[in-house]
Amino acid sequence: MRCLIGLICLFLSAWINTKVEWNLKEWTTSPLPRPESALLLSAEFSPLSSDYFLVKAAIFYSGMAKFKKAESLWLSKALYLASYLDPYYFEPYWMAGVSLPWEGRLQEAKKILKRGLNYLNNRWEIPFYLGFISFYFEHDSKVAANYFLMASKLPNAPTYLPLLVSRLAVKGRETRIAIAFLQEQLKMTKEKKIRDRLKKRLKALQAISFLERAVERYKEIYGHLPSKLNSLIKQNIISTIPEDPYGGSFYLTEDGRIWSTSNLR
Amino acid sequence: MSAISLKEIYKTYKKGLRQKILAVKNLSFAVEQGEIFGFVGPNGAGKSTTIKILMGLIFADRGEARLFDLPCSHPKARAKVGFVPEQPALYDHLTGAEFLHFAGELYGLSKKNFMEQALKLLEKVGLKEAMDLKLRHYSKGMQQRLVIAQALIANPELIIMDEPLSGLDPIGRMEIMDLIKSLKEEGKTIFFSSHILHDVETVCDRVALIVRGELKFLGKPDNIEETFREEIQKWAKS
Amino acid sequence: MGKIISIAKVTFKEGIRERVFLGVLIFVGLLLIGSGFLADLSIGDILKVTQDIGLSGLSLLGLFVALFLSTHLIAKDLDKKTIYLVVSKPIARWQYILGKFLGLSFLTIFAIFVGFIVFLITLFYFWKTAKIYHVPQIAWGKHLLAFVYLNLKMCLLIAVGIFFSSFTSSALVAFSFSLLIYFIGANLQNVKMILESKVGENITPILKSLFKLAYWLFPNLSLLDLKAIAVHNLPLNIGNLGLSLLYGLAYTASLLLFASFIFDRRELN
Repeated sequence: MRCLIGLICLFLSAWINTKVEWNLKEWTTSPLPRPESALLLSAEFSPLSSDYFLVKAAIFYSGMAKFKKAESLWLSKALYLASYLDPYYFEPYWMAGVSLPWEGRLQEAKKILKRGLNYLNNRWEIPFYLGFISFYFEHDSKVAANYFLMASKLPNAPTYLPLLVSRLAVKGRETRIAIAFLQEQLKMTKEKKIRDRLKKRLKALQAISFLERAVERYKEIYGHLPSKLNSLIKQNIISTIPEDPYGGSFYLTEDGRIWSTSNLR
Repeated sequence: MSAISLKEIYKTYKKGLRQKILAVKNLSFAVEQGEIFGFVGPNGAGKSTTIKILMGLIFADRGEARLFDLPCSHPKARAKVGFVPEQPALYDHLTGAEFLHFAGELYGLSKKNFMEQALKLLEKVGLKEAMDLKLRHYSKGMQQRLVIAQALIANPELIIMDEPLSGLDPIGRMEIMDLIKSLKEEGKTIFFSSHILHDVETVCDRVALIVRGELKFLGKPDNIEETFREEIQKWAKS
Repeated sequence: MGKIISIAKVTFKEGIRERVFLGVLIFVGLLLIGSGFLADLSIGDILKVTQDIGLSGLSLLGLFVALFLSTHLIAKDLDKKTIYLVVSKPIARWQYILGKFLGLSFLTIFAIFVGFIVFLITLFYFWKTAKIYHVPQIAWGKHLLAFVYLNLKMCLLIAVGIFFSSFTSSALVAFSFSLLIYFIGANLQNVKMILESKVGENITPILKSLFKLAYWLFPNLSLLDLKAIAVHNLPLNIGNLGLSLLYGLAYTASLLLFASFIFDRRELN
């Protein structure tokens, strides 16, 4: 009789367990410990803690559609934590380089990646990401060139890196470099959700690149920048304005660049 | 030289932080080679304490305790001594043979000496069939017999036994008594304690009576009964 | 010394025949085998995570045998008075201590060795069947080195357990203190790193001096922890490794010497 009641209670609790609403967002953005505390608590098992926080960060990154300010901050903290707990582990640096700069977390990304330079002096990707941040987001070609040069000397570095350094000075190439960068990332990623994010960004940048080349051609023909993007269609340079996968609309900035109201986020 | 020699032994136990219990006070006597010596007294008189001092398990505060003229704290003093403790505990994951082997090794016996000796002993105490059985499966009687075997494994000259007769049925008591007598015939010295006067009266050459840590009688057992009664009455009154 | 070896053998047999020992061995075996599957669930470098879980499992196994089993077995010896029939023989107390140490060490090495074999097989299997873009090289030799140093670390911890058991009579007390020493020792290097970083600038000087004292006194277990070198295939610094080896041996020896000194004077009531 007691066994029967025991079984009923067990099934009841199991059923309740399935009904409880589990908020992915809550779980992933739970407060993070301070890096030093986490290190001391984990003692010799800190690499396992690093794996744990990286998993949290990765699930979070692949699960969320749009990031608010607080969320991207959580992501940077989680990645810093993962890299702090196992500084010889490459994945946190990779994820930081791929995700954080696009969410506006430049300082946090740089902090993580610079730390990585001290520990992993044989991964070309780390100085490459730093170079990319300097070039694409901070518009500092000089610093970028130094980083790309550093990267090119490390094992397995892509052969186009030295060429990249020489092309940095040429204006208007940023988008194409960013496209090459993203294509490189895609090669290295296997997780479907992260690949989807990267493909989405790639699509947006390809659209921007398409429009930028159209603007260049307009300038060659008419000698000045078009007043608005529609002019490109009117003058038959392009047939349609491509869609922004982030749901915004592309516009022409004052200095002739293309950007989107969505900010690519 | 005496097999056992105790000179002005004092031992105090500390109970908690303040209380001190005087277990043994100014104890002095000697046990000569070849005799059966009985150490008798009521429970808590200090018999076990004295024996533990002799075996180097605890240390006297003052005085000298010697075995074959070597200080008891020295391992060599125990080379010719076999010990049977009061409530012996054995490593019950070992078999009878393994334990005996272990005991032999601790005496420094080489493998050659050991095998024959061990088998003879096991037969003598009637444990030959059980020798490959784990000790956890031994009955109390069997355990007692194994402890005696391990005490005799190195053919010691002195055997010290703490309350060997307590908890035994009449047959067991008789067996132990016979063993003690046969050991004396082999020229060995036996020192054992008991709280029952009759046990020491019948078989001992000499006897010591200890009450509340002090020696009250030392000599032949014929004269002990009167003193024994007196002291027990005194002790019971307090 | 034959007598020491005898005690070692008996201790080894006692430990092996404890049922808890077998249980933990099975648990760690399952953990190691499951590590690859666990790693598959996680996101990141699957082989790295497999190695992390495996090596951590080995550490845990070692900790259990070294800390728990050692304090438990010695306390049992004292409590049940099985020690009476050993110490009352013509042996010195230090021989008992050394015999116990050797027996427990062999027990631990045996356990970790079994775990290590399972770990290697598991790792090899997952390495061969991994479906990832760029399969990394595994530093098998460095894993072997990490295994050796892990054993040394465990022997040091056994000495810690024996040290505390030499004067307390409760297995729980000895175990708790040993565990505390382990935790402090595992973190000494981490605390040092934190104090030397930016965060450490705000710590009061008193605490810093206290830490310096602790750094001298407690065992720096990170010196014997080669997990990072094995998993990330970091370069070997022979000088440091040699010093770490010496450190481990010296510290263990000092603990055993203190334990035998204390145990010499212990009343076995």
